[in-house]
Amino acid sequence: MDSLEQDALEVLSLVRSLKNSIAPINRIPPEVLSLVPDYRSGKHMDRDLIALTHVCRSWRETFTSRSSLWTRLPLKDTDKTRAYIQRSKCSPLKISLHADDGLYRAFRDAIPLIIPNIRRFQTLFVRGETPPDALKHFCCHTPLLEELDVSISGPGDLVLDSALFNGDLSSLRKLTLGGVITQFPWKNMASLRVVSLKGCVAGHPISRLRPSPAHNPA
Amino acid sequence: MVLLVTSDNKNFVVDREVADRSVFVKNTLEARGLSIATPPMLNGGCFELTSPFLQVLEYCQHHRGEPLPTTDDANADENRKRTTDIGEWDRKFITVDHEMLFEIILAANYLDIKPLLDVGCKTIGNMVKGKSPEEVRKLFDIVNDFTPEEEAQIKKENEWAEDP
Repeated sequence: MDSLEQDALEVLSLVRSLKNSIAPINRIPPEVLSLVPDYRSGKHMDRDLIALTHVCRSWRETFTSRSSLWTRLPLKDTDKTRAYIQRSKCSPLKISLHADDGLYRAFRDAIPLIIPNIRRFQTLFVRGETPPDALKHFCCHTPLLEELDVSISGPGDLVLDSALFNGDLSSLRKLTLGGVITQFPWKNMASLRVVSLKGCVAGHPISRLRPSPAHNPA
Repeated sequence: MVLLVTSDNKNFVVDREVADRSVFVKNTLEARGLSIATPPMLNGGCFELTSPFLQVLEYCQHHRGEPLPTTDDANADENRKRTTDIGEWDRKFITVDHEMLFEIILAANYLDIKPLLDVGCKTIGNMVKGKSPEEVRKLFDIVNDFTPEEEAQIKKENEWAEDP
């Protein structure tokens, strides 16, 4: 009986899918429909995107299979992060850590998920009260990293040394630093075009930034 | 001037500047080596266009002469998309029933008129913004066709779907 009921439910699902296939909006080809979430803004972007994947089977396939929609890792919930990593496939990732206390804990939990994908990092933003060891896991080469922004205000000194990304930032185009100590020890920054050194960030004066003489116009 | 023929055999004579809003038309004319001529010696291109063509033509006429978006600047493309704002004229233009909206999007895609495709996609994006899956289904006449197993998976996803 269970098996019959199961079959009936699957047939019902199939009939409904057929009905959906002739809905006027589904005349729009999936490759065009999948562009809709590109045009989104506001703080509920993620929620709206996920809602679209829960509308019907064909929409779920359309929106989950477009990897570039899933590259901004949320880092707020490990299940969510896992789903985004899976759906982003091989696309470059955008990592943003706004590290107030609760979020930093979530970030720490997500570390085992994101470290295997470190080679896909395209942008990394670290903001807020960040402990000194926040970036110690990021010691592999990231061939795609184009933008790095570490603007912190945490207690203790965050030192950016040559271990960060194995000392190689060869694809980096934009670097923004605030409230950190560094001597720019990376051996390869050939692509760097924009450098922003921020002034006081939560009591950390710019003097705490120590550019190496080679990078200091003075 | 360019002669455009729709699939229902209606002829439209438009300025080259207007026709060139469509990258498809522009490339087709260029590939065939057609030059600009004035009536009555029209150079013709035959394009399969359907009823929303008049709407699309109105859009192209309004935006004639404006710079076309380039494909080689990824940042500009990203920034253009990361806004849901639609200009006042475009908003009035795209305030049509669903059927026509979808037809315009299809035509913009077929004719490769990126700014018009932007407007259409933004409009759909604005329509679904903040709506639950059930509300989206109602809006677009879609039914829930998930199997019980898929429903269970979605229920699990709902636990993390809400932004904190």
